[in-house]
Amino acid sequence: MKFTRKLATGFAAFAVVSSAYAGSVPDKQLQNDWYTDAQSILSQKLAQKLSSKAKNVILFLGDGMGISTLTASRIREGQLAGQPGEENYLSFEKFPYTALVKTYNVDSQTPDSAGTMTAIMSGVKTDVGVIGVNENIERGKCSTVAGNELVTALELAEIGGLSTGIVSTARITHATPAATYAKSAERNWEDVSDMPETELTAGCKDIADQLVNFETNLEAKFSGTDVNGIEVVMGGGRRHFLPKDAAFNSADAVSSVEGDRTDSRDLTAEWQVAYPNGQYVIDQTGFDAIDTETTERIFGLFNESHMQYEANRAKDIAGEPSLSQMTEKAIKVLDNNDKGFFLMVESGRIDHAHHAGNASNALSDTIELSKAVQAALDNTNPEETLIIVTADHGHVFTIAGYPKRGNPILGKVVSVGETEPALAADDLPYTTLGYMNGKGFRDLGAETDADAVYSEDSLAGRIDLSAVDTETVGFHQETLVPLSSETHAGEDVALHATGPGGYFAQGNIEQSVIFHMINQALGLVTK
Amino acid sequence: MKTIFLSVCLMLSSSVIIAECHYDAKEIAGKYTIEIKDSDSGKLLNKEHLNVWRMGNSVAYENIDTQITEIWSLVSNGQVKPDRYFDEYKRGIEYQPADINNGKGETHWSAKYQIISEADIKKMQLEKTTGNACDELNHYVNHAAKNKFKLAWLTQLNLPKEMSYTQGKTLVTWKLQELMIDKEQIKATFVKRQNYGVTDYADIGDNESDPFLLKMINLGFVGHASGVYSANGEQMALEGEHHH
Repeated sequence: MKFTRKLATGFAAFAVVSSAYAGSVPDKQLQNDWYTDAQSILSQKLAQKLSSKAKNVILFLGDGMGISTLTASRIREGQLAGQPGEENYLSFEKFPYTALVKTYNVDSQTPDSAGTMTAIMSGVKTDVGVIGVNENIERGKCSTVAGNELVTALELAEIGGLSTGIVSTARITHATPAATYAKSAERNWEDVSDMPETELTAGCKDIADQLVNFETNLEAKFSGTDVNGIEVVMGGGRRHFLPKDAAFNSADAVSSVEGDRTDSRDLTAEWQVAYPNGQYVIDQTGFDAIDTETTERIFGLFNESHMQYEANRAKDIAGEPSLSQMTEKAIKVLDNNDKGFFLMVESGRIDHAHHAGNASNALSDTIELSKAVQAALDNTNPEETLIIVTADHGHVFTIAGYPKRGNPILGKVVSVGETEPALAADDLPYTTLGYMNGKGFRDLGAETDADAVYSEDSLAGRIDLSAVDTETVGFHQETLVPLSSETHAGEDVALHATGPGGYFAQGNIEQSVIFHMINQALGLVTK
Repeated sequence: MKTIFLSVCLMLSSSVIIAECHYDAKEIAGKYTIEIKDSDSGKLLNKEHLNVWRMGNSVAYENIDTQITEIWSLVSNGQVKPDRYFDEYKRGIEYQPADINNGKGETHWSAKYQIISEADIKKMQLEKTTGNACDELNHYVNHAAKNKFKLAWLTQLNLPKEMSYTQGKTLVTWKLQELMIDKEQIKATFVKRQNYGVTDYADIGDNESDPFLLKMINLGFVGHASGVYSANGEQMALEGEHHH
């Protein structure tokens, strides 16, 4: 079967061929679309101008977005657009520079988000489960924090006078966003109620407290420094900022008592006092009302816990902005600073969908991340903005079997030349996508919340899928090893980069190198 | 503990005797036993003790035997938020509001709130009404169901006093042993769980080293332990009909 080639980069074919080869390569080959399209890519690379200094850096992080997730998502996006899918590119897959990234934590072969994001933000790999501190820490021991704190790229950008921003679809106190601003011996110390009394007495602060008091803490740490605080904070996690008192419930609270804080503090009110010109918003209406040209700073907490999966977003009570909307809004506020900005954007729920064994939501959130990257490209000057897109770790998520070209990526394997699903040795059909471990098969139909599966027991092993529509959003793929939740994987992840300093994305690197790419582009340490 | 058994309240008005129930059906609790017997021999196979606590738009299913409590709350958009509390460990798992029928139908909030949904009661045939005020009972049967469902329904409290149905080769019987109307006690039941350490469902995967979460996989869930619902959220009581 012959498929039309569509080169997603959209550049015209460039047919210059070295005379030394002209005679030896047949015309049929020289005129082949695959040949000419590939040649044009090389020509683009030859024409690239290398510059290493950027005004702005945007770091996109797909939590749990391993390479198989990228491949499956690009196929899914292509198929949703009516194409076979395999030829498609996610927006950032068109970037000119790529590296493979080693993800292990200092004490863990398969990493978690806390250790990996600490490496990305500080240049120092560390232990699993800890935030913004080095490997000399003892997890959960406040007394080991002092002297082991690491400085992050976001803090350095603040000190350098740049505007800074953090956007995530996870709770803004969750491991990945927290590693941009907090120092904690335990990733789960998101608010004061999560901390043992002994650790509170020892003087450690919860992560939400550290976010709201970021400016004060940074100035205290670096005597004589005058910073103005993080300009854009948007994500979920309102519960960690509100007192455990129903009187403080937001209008769209889903818990009878929304806040978790047991110290009676309302950190959203404290933030508003500290930044009277800032806008605290909790829903789509408040978000839409923000004038980016006049707004000094935003504190957006759109959900009491994590924000919704993109596929489930329409079901939110008060409405939440999408990741691409938040990205665009953040850039338009941050770029009001002539000195430039540093922005971290996390798609936090790709990871959660995979943990739930639900490929559909993982792919749709990855596609939304691709749209967010496109929004960044559309709202920045490519000559002055370094954009990096990477992941903290992968998942045990596979693309398997021998499905024919254009076979629905969420479907059952249909072999080349066939129209009916292929059968395995047990005479049952099987899906292209699957998980090595986790909760296993569930057919939840139109359920757009991947986490609905957590109300049910694990179901590992083979299932007769003959009558099951595996392409519905609520389908959860089969698994081999039963676990309460599907796990991270230890394999490398990809890094895509464009803009000044992007060309340092080469080869196979430790995750800590990413910090140095940011530092090199913005000249942070020397500022 | 303030315990009040079913009683009749009388009120005289304009020389007409009107019986009213003064219990607040929105804040009430019932202690149930659930017996599972062999249908043929009548041998008792299992007996569970389940307390059902109702407060406002929340209802708690406290399984005394498994020490697992499941609290369901109706949220403003009509979805239902389930939380599960493991009383032995003083830990809980919080979930996002969801369509509890897993996207396949209505949310059946009433099935959670009053154990049997209004829709299912309407499918039954009313045989007779006995008692009055808080004791008023509607006696239902469902001839269409394969599982020989019978229900004695407290009309003023919206709770079953007794119900039975066959499940496979067993007969399941729920019996209300005691009503509780002490509002402080009911409130305390909910507040106690609010003070447990809780983990967001979505964060389980990031906390595999947590001993409690590691163990939780083997603990099962209240929905199963209580015997009220099948794994897909459908009511066991009308199981026969769903398989037609």
